[in-house]
Amino acid sequence: MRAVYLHGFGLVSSLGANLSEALKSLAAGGKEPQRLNLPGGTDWPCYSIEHSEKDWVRRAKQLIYNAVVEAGLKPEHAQDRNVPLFIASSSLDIGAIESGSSHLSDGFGFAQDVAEWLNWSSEVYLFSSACTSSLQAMLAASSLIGSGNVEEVVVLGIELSNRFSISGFASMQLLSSGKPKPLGAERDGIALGEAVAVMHLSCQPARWRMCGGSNIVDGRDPTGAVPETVARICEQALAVSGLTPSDIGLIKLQAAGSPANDAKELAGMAKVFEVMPPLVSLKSSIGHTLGASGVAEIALLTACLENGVWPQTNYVYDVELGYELSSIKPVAPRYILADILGFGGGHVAVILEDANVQRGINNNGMYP
Amino acid sequence: MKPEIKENLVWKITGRVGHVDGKPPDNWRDLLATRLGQRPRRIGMLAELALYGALDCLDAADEAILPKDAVLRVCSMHGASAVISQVLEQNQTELPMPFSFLQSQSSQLLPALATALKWQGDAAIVMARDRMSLALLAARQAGPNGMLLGWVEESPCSSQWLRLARCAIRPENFTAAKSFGEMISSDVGYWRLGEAGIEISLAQDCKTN
Repeated sequence: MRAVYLHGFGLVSSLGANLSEALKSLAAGGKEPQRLNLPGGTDWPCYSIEHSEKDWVRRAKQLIYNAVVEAGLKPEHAQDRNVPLFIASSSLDIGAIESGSSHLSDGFGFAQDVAEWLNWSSEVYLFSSACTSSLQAMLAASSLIGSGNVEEVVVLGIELSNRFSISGFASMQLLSSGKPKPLGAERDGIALGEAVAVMHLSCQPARWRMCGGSNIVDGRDPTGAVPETVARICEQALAVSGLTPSDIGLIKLQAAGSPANDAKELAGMAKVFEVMPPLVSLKSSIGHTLGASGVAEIALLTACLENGVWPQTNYVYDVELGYELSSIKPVAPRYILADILGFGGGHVAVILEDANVQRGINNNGMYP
Repeated sequence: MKPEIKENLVWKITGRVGHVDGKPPDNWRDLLATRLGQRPRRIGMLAELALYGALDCLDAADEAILPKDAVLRVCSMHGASAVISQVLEQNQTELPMPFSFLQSQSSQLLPALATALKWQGDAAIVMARDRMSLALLAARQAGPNGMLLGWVEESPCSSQWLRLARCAIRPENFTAAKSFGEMISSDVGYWRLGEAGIEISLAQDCKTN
């Protein structure tokens, strides 16, 4: 298998129109979620993207185009090369259907629309396995490039404004009443967010290398994580990457602020990591962006690491969990494990290597 | 760089369900209830259809459970559209019913399948307009224990499944598949990864080692 690298990223989120804006916003303390009113008089936090366009389709088209361009891709990029496009989304264009600008039809139609907006002439696949969609797409892309079938793949995570997802999560009593508090003592649920995230994977060397990963669906809890399976995805990801737990210098958790799931995730991690590496969660920064979350959070995290910006929290952690999120950027973590745990029993972990870091520098080192 | 083609990347089609038109028998729900020992609860029609086809396919492959390293890929172009419509309507005036929302999510068929197949592993909902492309992507990700592939739609009711197991075989008379129908034809016994895509061989044209 040949090496696979992460060549470029794009992210439009509640933090800003691109990664540069997101970092500025994070450095200034981040943003508060907006509130979305639902029928029945309830309102819920939602990390919405600020954008002047009101028409759902025109807004989606502009946001997607901007994210793709930020990742260093031009719309004509795929015209003369075989670059498969892997779209990952949970809610697809349900927001357009709600607003009356589209109608319920073939689920793949949205993926085709996106490909047309981008003039994408190569193959298009749609991953729609709820929250783990974009990491599943990343694993498939890595497999295609690694085996020499293609030179590059673009993964595009899209999760845009709709009431369908928020009302569904509200009906299941999974939403926080305010800003989510991952690993917090008073965590009371998750907050959803919008994102368009792009990851350009290629066989051409770049700073970030995709080492490997693991995807396991475990049906024992269709709406939550299973600690043993969290441990298994970490073990498998380490094994295929040729690494041991002590090589990991940073873990980007799912940690969305769920009372039960945060605890299950840490219980699973503790089975693998005798000494827990520094932990980070981005859910209180951009919300849970569902199908886009894996790629969106990796895009934001790598940008944070490259630019010395670190997300801050201002709440009390749950001492019973035994772990806290790192308040400072870890010193040069060479290997980073990122997981997403989802709806539908989905558990995915991937491991990235920062080629700028030499072996031996990281291993849980922190600035004093 | 040329694609990495391993000599042993050959799969035998060991189970095949709904390969003619995908339409299950009229009493498929009764058959599923008999197979499970009870009627499935709260999972929705799409997941029930997936269960029916997947379990039938494993039976056809003479496997009691899906091996843990097999790859499971399911495609549903329309998803649970009836329930999605229902939830959209409920959303006009109130919060949806929790189980309606769950059933509207195609991904919920994955835990249902995992539970019924007594399996935990690499499963995903992936869609591609061209069914051959989807099969090709799955084949490129499949490991030693092969794959279980399903195409499921509520309307018209359809549940097509293939179980492919890796096998050691002398590759003879493989030709590029021209259509998905040809790939799943009952005459075809084997798939192989070629440079341009899936190659197929008739069942009688290969000799197992």
